[in-house]
Amino acid sequence: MYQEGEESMFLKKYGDLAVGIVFTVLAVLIYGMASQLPPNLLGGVGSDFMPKIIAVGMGILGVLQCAEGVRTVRKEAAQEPEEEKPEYLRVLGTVVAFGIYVFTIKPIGFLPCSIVYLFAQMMILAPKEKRNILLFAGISVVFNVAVYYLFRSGLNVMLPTGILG
Amino acid sequence: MNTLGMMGSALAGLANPLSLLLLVAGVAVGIVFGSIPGLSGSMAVALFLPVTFAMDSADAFTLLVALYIGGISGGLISAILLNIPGTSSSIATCFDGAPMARNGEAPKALGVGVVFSFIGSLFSFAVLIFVAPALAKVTLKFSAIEYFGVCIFALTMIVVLAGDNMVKGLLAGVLGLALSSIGMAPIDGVKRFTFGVNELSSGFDVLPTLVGIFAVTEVLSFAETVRKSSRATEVRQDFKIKGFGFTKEEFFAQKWNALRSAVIGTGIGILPGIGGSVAGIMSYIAAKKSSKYPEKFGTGIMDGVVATECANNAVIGGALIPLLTLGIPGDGVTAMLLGAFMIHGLTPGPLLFTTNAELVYSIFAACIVATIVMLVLELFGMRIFVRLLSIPKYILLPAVLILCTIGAFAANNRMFDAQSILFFGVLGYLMAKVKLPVAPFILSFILGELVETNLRRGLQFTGGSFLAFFQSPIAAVFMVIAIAVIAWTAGKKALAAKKKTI
Repeated sequence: MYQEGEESMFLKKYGDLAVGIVFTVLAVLIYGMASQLPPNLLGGVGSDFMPKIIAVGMGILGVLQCAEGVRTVRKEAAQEPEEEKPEYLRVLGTVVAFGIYVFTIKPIGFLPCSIVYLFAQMMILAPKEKRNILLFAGISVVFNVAVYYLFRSGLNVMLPTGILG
Repeated sequence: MNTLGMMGSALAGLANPLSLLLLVAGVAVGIVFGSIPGLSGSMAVALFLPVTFAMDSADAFTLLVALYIGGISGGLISAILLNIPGTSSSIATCFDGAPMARNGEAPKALGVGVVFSFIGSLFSFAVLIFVAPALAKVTLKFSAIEYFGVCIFALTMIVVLAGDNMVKGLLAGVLGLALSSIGMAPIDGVKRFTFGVNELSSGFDVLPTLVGIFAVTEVLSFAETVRKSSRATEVRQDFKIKGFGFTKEEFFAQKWNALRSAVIGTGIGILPGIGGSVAGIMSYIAAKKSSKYPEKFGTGIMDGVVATECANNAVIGGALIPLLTLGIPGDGVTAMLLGAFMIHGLTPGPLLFTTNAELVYSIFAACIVATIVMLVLELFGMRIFVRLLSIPKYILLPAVLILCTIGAFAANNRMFDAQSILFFGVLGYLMAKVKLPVAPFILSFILGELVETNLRRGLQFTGGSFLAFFQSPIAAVFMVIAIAVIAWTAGKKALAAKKKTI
């Protein structure tokens, strides 16, 4: 809990500077990569033109943002009372669960993956006192089976069958 | 055939069971998505886009237009009953709608919202139907140079959308442009920034990008506030709905307010990127300024609900004008509609009015009938929509994510697209964390490729001379407006900064 509070303070203080630095670095990378694109043979401007313009614009804005960020860091951070600490654990859990889901659909198949994922995601998002394992499991199975057959046979969307196929 | 004749036969074409079923289902689903905070009309359109693959083009657009109209209108339900806007379009509906409900006038507020949504939509469709065909005759003569001018003008809307922090708004904009440049370059097909990933050579598709930015980001933001939102207020269900909820006199007293709001909404709809939320708020402010009793705004008077609901629905007709006459989408929903045209092998733009006039008019007809369906469903089915508001988010959002994954996958039948929504979801979440606005990102992501294509095509034309872009009168006008928008916004900012220091 303590750490979470720390983190949002950090974001408030150094967020602007971090954004500035990330974009400035990104701008340099884009410009560098654009310079290595093959030359243009068709008249007009080449494929490197737009990315370079974007990179230059991003670079200028990035430096401006860095300057703004330095100002934010210097400013004494106003001690606003935290209204509610963000629940980063649930966010992380969601990203991990969804990540595993989208990368396993193809090898394992839509139906098993979706049933497991939907159940897991509801458990992650529901507050502790509202967790109802039977209800969640029921919804996961019924919803996904219905969706699977609706899309596969009704709408010709070829969802991966995976191990069941 | 003249406009009215074409409209007549298009309306007759809708009079079959399948079209009517699609209209009713589309509007109903749209209202549900619009009314539940966290889901939106654009999400509904994204989810149903793959469903339309197997349909013929007229049916496909009937369904998509119905979802769009229901989605914008549905937001008023939760704005009034929960004081939470169901979609960003109905932010300003909360200002007076929620106080009305608190004063025991919930049925009246809902009735006013529904009826004036209907009027706002109809007004904008009338403008669409009579202006678009004439405009298409003009835009037919546009070359790459003029298109480039229009696109640059559209991009300057980023400045307007940037909000309080100009640098961050512009950064979000260039990030969108940068991501849109990934993949094969227009004209010569050079592979850019693909890092050897084969799937990236066709770039990020608009649909997964938007689904990621809207839906996945929404779920992540909800995850962060689970404890807070589990204490959210209960939905009011303790009211009876009879008729419209207001008298004939009250209705006619709003005629100028309604007209002004509809004009504001349609106008803002035509401008790229700005969308319903700004239209609602601007029209609310305009109504307050010109009212004889401005002090009553915010206490729960119907004028406020009329202004926002009329304007945010009028945005729809306006937004369809540049899409149909130029093929340029101004926001997320129209970008997805553009995708739908492509899927059906059509290119929206002026030629559509000559090659596929029937389809264009059947879209018009679908707009009008969907609006009527919306009025009927919301007047008689309000109770059901209100019930649905109490489905817990921790059940709803995971189910929606599954549908989003299917939608992203089905658009091109590639798993890569489904995986990329994770990337865009995390990106959107991080952007929200560091307060980078999402609207400029989306606008420039949508427009990026169009700008580059037309610039390079135009320069091929003119032998590499940039001057030619200012010699075409139409392009020059748009460029000048673009510069004026930037100058005006910068001037306004400077003035505000000055005021602050004094």
